[in-house]
Amino acid sequence: MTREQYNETIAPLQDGFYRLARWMMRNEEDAEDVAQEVLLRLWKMGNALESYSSVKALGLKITRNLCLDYLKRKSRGNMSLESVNGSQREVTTSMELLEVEAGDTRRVLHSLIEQLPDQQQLVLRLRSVEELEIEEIAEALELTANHVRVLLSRARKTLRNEYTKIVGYEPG
Amino acid sequence: MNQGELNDLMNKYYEGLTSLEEEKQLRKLLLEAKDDGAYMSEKDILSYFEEEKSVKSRKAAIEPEAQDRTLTINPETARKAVAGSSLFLKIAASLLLLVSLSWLLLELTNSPGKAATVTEATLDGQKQLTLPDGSRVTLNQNSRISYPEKFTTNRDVVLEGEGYFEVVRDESKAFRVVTGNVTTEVLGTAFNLRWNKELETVELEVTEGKVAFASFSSGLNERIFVNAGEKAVYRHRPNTIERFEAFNPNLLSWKTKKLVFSNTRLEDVLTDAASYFGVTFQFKGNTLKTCNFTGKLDDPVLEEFLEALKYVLRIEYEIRNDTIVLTGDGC
Repeated sequence: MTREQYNETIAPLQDGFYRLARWMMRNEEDAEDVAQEVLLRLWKMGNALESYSSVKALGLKITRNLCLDYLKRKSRGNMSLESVNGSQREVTTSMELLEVEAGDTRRVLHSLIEQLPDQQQLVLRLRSVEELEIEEIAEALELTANHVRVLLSRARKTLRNEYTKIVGYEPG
Repeated sequence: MNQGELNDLMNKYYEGLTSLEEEKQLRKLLLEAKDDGAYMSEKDILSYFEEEKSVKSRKAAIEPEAQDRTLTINPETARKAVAGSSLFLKIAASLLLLVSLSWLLLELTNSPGKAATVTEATLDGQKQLTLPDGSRVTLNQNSRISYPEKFTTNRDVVLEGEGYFEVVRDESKAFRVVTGNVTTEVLGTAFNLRWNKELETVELEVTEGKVAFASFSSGLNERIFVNAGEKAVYRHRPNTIERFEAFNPNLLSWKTKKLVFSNTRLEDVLTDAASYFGVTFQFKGNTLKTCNFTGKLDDPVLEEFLEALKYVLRIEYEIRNDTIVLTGDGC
């Protein structure tokens, strides 16, 4: 791979890797490091990349694995996202009880998504923010395409229902 | 889209069955809707994701320098790298090269049924041209450029002598300048290219963007990338490509009409000035050569330049046709 190819195909994926890492680690600095590491690993793969249908999906898979490794090490063998961010989670859950004011929608949605099961969180974000095809999400998260659709459907429904409950909109 | 269709699409969305395209459509419909319709929650949720998309890394992408084989400027290493690759790859590469070379020839020769080739040349003066894609070329004196009347697949031109290129960006069509053994390839950028047939060199100075500079002749199989502010030189003997991190801005003075000197030795000042004004300089005594000169001259005529020297370095001059004789006490 030439540097030109790297600049054109790999470097632009950095923001997506960063967003996923930031979501998983809740820490901007660590997320930056992970994103750089992923770029470097893709670069080192060189021409082997050609055998992958989606470099973006591959990169996101590496991102997720690096984050999981990192979180695992940090929590000494306790690998669930939930337990790592347990304290944060308690705080956000209590937000449900708060009255929602204008401008809070972002925080509310953020915390509601954080309360979804880990895989649903990632599927929802990879679809809604990174705009990946179902097959790409399947590749990134090592799931089947069908499973991805099921998780996506559940995540969307739960998020809408919980959010509607909080803000008090009449359901659509 | 009516309400019924919107509801159907929304149901499909919640089953996880919408395509990316349909989701885009849905987003557009909801986010642009003025009235508070049935889908208020959806509207909030979709705007949230839109905002999340704007989260960007604050660090520049890592530059993997060390491993980049194409950036090696030592031809020996480059040859070794090629020798290390498999025989199949080598054959494939040379076939590809043959194919592309013959294609290039076909593309550039004025064969019947193809677009006609346009050739422009200069003798004493300079010439400004606009190519079929809108790119601009300034031809220096004693230069020649050929290009098809219409660019079809790629944008290929052949240059002899010197030209300054301002290339219009077009990602789908690479812009390539062939100068002897060397091909310079860009998508959209500005650069100066000089083919000196006597010295058997091709020199490139990049002023904007990034340029790929390559030669595949006589066993040299190299392609390097040259960034703005950098320079590259191909030498037919000993068949090398070399990259430099900076270049003398006066190399472009023929185009920029500017001479810039910053504590420059007079000897070097006069080399640049000689080529800009088309004259030769002679010294009376060698003491002058050690003087340094700093100054910026905008579109100067010869007399202005000489007056500047006289004022700053107390040098007297005498103009004898194309030769200028300089005298002074030295610095």
